[in-house]
Amino acid sequence: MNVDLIFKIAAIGIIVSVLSLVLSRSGREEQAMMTTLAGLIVVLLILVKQIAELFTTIESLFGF
Amino acid sequence: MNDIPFVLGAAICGAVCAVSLKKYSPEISMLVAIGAGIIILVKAADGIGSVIETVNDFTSSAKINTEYVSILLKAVGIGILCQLVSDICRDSGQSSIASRVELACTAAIIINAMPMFIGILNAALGLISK
Repeated sequence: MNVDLIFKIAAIGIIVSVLSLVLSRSGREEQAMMTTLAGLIVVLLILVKQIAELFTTIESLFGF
Repeated sequence: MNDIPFVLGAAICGAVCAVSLKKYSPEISMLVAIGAGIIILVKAADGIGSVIETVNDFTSSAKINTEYVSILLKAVGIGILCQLVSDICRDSGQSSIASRVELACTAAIIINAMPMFIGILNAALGLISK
């Protein structure tokens, strides 16, 4: 739960976009699309854990 | 006051990463912005926790009706979360979803505060009927 989460997501984003660029340049459009989707899903999974932690913190704090 | 540097640093890093990723992959740049917002909110929640404890101490010592204070705190919690989500939706360009979220938040807070209204009305009626 510190700043490196931001950099982890940014790194995944850069890697995924470079990969999809390379794949699309070499003519494999579908795989480029798949790579982008895979990167998106990985980032979403990471983020869902953070969101769950946020919600439990807020609920325990404000007495939901 | 000790986590202000963390909050400022996280906000700046999040903004820079989100903008730099915008050209390559807009979806992940939006997720970076969401991640930064969540990190900052969790860090701010620690500060809010101490404020809430002092509020609870005062109300319990002053024997004010703690039910109203819990309603107030719940409304603040709902407001914080809904503001986060509606701003994220507005950032991503979906202002219609943002206004729907705000409408739902207002409804939830009003429903949450309904017993307080009833209490006040009864008190007023009690005064009038005397």
